[in-house]
Amino acid sequence: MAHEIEHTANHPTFKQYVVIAIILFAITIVEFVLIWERAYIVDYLGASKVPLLIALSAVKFAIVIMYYMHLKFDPRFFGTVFIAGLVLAFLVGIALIGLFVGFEGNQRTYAKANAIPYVHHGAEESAEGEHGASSETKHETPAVVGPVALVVSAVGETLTFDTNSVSAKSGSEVTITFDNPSANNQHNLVVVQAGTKDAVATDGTTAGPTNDWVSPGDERVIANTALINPGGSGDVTFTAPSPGTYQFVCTFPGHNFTMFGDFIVD
Amino acid sequence: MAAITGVIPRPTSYAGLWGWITTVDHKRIGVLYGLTAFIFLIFAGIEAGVIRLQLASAESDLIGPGRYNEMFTMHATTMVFMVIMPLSVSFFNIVIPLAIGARDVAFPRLNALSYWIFLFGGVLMHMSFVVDQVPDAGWFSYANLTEKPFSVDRGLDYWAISLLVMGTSSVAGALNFIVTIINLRAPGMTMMRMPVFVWMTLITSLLLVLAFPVITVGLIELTMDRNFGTHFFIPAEGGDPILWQHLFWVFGHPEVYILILPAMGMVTEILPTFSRKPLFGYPFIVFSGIVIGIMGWAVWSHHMFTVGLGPVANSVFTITTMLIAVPTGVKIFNWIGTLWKGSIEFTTAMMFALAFIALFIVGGLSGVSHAVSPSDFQQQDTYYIVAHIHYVLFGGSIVAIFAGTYYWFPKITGKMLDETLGKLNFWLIFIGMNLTFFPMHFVGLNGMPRRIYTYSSEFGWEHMNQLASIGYIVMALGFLVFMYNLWQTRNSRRVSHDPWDAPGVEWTISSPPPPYNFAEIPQILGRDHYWIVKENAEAAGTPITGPEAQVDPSSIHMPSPSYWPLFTAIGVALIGGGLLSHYALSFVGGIIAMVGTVAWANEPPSAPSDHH
Amino acid sequence: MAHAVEHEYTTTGLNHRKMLMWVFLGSDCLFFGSLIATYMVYRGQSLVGPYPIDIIDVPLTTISTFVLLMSSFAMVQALSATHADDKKGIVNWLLATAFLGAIFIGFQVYEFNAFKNEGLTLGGNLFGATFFTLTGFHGAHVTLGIIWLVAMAILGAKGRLGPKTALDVELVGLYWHFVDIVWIVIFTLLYLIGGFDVGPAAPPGGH
Repeated sequence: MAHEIEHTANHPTFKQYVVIAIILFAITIVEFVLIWERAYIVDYLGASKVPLLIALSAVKFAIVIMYYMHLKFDPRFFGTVFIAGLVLAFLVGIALIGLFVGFEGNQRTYAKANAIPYVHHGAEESAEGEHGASSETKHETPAVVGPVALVVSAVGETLTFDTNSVSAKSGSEVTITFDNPSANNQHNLVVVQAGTKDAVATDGTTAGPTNDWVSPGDERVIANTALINPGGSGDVTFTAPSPGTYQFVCTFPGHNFTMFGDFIVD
Repeated sequence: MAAITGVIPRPTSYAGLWGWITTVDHKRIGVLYGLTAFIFLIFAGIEAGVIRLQLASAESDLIGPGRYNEMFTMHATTMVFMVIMPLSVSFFNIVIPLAIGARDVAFPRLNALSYWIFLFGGVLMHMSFVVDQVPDAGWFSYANLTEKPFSVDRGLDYWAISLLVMGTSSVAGALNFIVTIINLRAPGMTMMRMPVFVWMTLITSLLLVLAFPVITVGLIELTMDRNFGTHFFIPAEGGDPILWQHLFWVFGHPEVYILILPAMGMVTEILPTFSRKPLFGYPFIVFSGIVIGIMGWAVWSHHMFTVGLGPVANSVFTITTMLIAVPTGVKIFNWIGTLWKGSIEFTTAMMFALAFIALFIVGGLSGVSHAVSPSDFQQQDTYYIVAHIHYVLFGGSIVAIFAGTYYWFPKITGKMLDETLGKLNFWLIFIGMNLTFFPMHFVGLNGMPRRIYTYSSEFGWEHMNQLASIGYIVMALGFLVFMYNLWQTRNSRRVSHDPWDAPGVEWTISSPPPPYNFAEIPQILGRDHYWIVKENAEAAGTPITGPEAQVDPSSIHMPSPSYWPLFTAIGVALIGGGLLSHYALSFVGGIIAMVGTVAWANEPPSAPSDHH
Repeated sequence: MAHAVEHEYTTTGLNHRKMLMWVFLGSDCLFFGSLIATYMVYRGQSLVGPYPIDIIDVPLTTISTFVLLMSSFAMVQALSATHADDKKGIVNWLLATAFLGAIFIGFQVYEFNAFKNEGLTLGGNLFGATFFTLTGFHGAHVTLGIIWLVAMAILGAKGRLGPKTALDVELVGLYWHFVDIVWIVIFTLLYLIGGFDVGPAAPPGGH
């Protein structure tokens, strides 16, 4: 009959524990220095500080487990069950992070598109805030025909325009006023060559929100409003091109599938 | 806290109701788990009945959609957490110490605590019926349907808090069984001589302690979203409902192995006994159980194939899911190898065990078809999945639990369940089960979605649904026969300590066992210990005719009963209940739990005037 | 507990309760792992500030990290004192551990308050939700540990701790060190690395 194993006197001594404590403190100080702006190391390290910090912490982690928790001197069974849990937690954590960051592609752009910069209390920095309703005008040749005012609106949260067709005479000065009465969604209105709405939207996604989700210098784009925040409105004025069917679309990522219409120039 | 333990001495008597309330005896705790789980089974069965009644005809308006949602949510939640799991734990409690030659589990009071917390957690869940705010978002409660704007009443809070409470019970119990199995095996019982049921219990317990914390975090985050203003799963604020799904299924997939491994273990004990030959391929069965336990962590997103994780994730999980079918297949072949050329005795337990193999294969085959993510795109959220679930959980777990009940009933009670009634029980269950769930494969592939309270007659699903509902009636009859069988054992005659001529250590002692189980801790001779003992005795000319001799119970020190597990459990339950009513109650519950813990830690092993 | 229990039979020769504690700690890894995974998944996903770089105070938290590390040292000394049957040492080191733990909690309370005043709340943004939940549950674990340590110190003062009951001190020590190593992970991920997150406009990881 196996009785409890007497606790073996296989301990580090007081001095050794002090040394271990000092090592732990030292590593923490090194970690702090690595990220401290005044030490300037952080400027040289860049992104490589991340694996370094993780490695240093892993060392601290292991030291506490091995020595303070006595695992180095204890029967292997204890370490096995604990390490099994630890490894599993680590793997599951990595898998979850990978599933969110690695494979979802565009679906993680919501925050990027909608985040509002933070302003400290009492700070006087001119916060970028939300984009005002900016008008972008592209005056080209003076209007041959009288000006045309069109109004298009987004419909609630449905990711659609309230009309699927607008028209104007070729050569006229067209002003499209775009209203965004939705509560949660930013939109824009981009007039493009026929059949190019999806391609323009795809390129616009790469261009990012600072470019109002339109690739700068995209030749397929005839005119576009700025990115309009919920509740806002904006307009764009341009000259109606040669007769034909064009399209207008919202190029906010993902909206181009349902939020588009025809722009008929006759 | 000596003051408390001085004023309220530790109880010593096993007698009467108070004896049951303060029990720390694994055999009694097992019976308590079994009876409580059976009551919940009746509730969940009634919920299933309502579902089948509603679906029996097209465009039925027996119950409305809201009530229907409550029915399928509570049916599944109850069956998973309050029926199958505690029934498994009931068997762990009754069988494991006996099977390893121990006198009790490693932590008897913790064992009792687990039971009481389970009971209170289950009651808390069903309080939702009393206040008519019943959870109705499915047993998996996908966000963000479960968020406050869409699930306004407190049903989901009942669901989350009750599961949190019951989770502590499961983890405490699992910790107990891990230490028991590793550390209380009789001399001579090496790991590779342990009965397979003991192995499966060990693996299940490891899965429990590792998986429950993940859903605990999910439930905490859901509760915080609903009650404390966070936005973990609210898309408009940047949260991601998919995170809930991941957290749930990282728990949920090991959970289904938690539900099936004990069942497989039970069947693995029963087949050799009634084939009159040792288990075929013991190491393979053990190792495939271990492999299932490990690989079960790598497959969870097969529940999320249609969520839009992308082709890479779907492919990875398709491959891992297809791979996990392999160890199960290994077990099946080894079971067949056990039966091969055996001299089969068709007792009720054996018939249920054989049915388990057949029905689990059917469930496993549909499971493999789900593993292929493109085909799962058609199957997901249809009755094809419902068919799979019920073949593996009813045809698998429940049928195996029936088998285990018929097998071990004589050990715990000293009486046998009637074999004729048992056969009737078996056929009603077997026929009813297939009648109900086999048609679901067809209506499912035909497009019938899950969780719809009714369907148009134009779809042509009505006949299959009628069949399924008739099958329910057949199954219900089977359960009634079982209950009558239990009832009539009051008057049946006693049986011997070893009615089946079985190989396990538990059969060496009397039925029911004495409180201390083994007068002398046995020296284990091999895998089929009792067969070896009986053979040796025959060969020596002194065949075994009776159980191991009993001794005066007071000569063996057993842990005394204790109030503190119940007391502490009340504290834990109040913490949960308080979160659902008045926070002050939670505070009181916390104090009670702490007082209980301290008193528990300080009470003496037994009262000075110890007597049994 | 805290009685000289006669040596009970065990198959492996290992103590039941020590085994229980190690398996429980393995299980707790999954708990904190899931909370940490939630934080990591939601990095850079908050829609409004304050973002980490606006309020995380790494120097202050480095000090509290030191304090917690020191408390682990004190814990180890408490166990040594128990083996050496040094009654005064046992009580003093246990109380020192609890005291240092309480200082750590004090830092946490101060930090939570400061953040709240700066506008970081549970419901304000995802950073608030994940930060407070993760560090809050860690703090709750520390608090339970402090209560346990004080209870043990009371037992020690009554003379009930010594070489025969060293396991009881060892068990609270294992729990306490575990809580410390979880903090090491949290400190690295939430402060040293994540503390410089600027919000969704810039990529997380901080260049």
